[in-house]
Amino acid sequence: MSLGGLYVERKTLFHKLDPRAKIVWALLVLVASVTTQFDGLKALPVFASTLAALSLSGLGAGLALLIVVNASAFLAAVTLIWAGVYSSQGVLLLALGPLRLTDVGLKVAFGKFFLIMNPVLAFAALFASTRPYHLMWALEKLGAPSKVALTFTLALNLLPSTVRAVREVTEAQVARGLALDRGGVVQRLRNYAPIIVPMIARLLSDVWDLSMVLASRYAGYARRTYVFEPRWSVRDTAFTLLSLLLYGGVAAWSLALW
Amino acid sequence: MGLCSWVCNNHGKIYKLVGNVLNVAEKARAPKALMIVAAVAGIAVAAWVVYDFWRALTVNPENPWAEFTLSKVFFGYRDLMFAVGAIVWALGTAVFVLELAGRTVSRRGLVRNRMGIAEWSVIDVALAALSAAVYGGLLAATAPIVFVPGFTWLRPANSLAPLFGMFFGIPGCLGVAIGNLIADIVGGFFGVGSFGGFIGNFLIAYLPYRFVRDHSFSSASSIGEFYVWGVLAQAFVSATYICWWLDVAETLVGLPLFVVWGVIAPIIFSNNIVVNAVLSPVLGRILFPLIKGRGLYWKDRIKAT
Repeated sequence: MSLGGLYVERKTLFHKLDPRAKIVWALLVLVASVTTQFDGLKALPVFASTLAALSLSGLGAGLALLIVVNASAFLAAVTLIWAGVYSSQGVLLLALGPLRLTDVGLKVAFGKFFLIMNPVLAFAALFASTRPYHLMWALEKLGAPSKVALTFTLALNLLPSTVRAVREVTEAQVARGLALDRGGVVQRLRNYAPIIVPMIARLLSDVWDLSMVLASRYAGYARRTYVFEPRWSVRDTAFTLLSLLLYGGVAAWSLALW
Repeated sequence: MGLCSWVCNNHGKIYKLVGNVLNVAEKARAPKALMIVAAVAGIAVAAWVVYDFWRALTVNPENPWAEFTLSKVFFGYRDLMFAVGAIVWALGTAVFVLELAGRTVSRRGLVRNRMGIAEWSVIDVALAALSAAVYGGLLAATAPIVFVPGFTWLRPANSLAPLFGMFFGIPGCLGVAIGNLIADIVGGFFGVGSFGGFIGNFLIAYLPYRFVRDHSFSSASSIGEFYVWGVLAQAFVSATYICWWLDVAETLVGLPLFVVWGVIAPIIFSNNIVVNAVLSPVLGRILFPLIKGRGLYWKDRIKAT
């Protein structure tokens, strides 16, 4: 059981920011993406800002590129759906069989694509640059019950090791002859039982280990206190104001022309 | 002659014995009948969903949703579904808040459920966190199954949602909700709609936890009740809960109504019906003794405290 989580240790500007400032920033990205969902062009500054955030957090824009490339199938599906909905509006750009792609349809498709992608990139930057300890502290400061904040943070940190474990179990079972893509729908579903059962068996062992670790740290018995509490600085205020200005401006630009 | 005299001498005992046998049979027959009807209904609906989508795809390969009966029902009766969804949403959200606050609705009014967040021990926290990680991890790491060629939305990991609720109680239900939220965040589906998915997934786990009395999957009533609450009821409740939220938040989410009710609602409903009808009882039968043996079954833990 590894609690490494999604956090990446670096010494960057983004790592030094108060976690509350970063949570506010991620939520502002979500709001700006919602307001620009019908115009992909207006969503571009928001997308650029999330790329910049990934660079500032030391992860590099390459990760963003990888995520975008992985999501290209999703972009194609989104384009097909929205091109169909807006096929009678705007200037026709491409007619391919029943598909009629107009400029309006394309803008909406990109807007919808960024509506999904921008928050994903923002949360990737947030989780990668914030220590789990500080994330939990920030969630509590924002009003989440202590045990819920602890549960969420633990689950988030356990996720990468769980995904690895699922892949290991799957590879082991496939090596023993399990064929996941064999049979009809019912058989294919039942093929997953040899993967899910070992995962739960593993969970059952981990529960006691994790409980003992939590109990030894007195977690869950009283309100948790923190030795290292982040301090809100001028840098955080400046970052939040800049974010408000940027995303507020983008939102106003979009809403004014709706 | 001998038999007749024995019957005459022992008629009282025989009457009592026959009465006991009939009583046991009467008690046993009802759950068995329930099991057969409920399980057949659950499996029949699952089979019909697969067949009907295949039929819709054959009739209209370019747009099977226009022919899919579930799409027609959800989108055709959108006003009715919206009204039902509003009731489901209000009740579901109230139940979510009450249960986490440590209260549950019973015939005697609001009573303590002894599993509210304030009463959680470290084991409850660990169970909720690990349930969330396993559920989210399986959702993120397993590929969807091909429903019919070209359409892949069956998620085997969804079969765990009702089981976590039945085996771990409220911590398991919250674990499922958090796991789904995390899968949304890392999988690229996080947005305003995730709020509906959060409580919707809580309800998928909550309904069988609350209404299935025997969680062992080893008796007639256990399997029968699971098919009623863990397959049929939860599929409808989760589909209407999530889609009502997407409908109300249309401006923020940005999905057209025909996508919400004509595509997403049938996908949620059919996924939850098929996966839970096929996989959950098998997993439940295998996992229940393991979980009970480890002392992690919620009823045992509540008794112990």
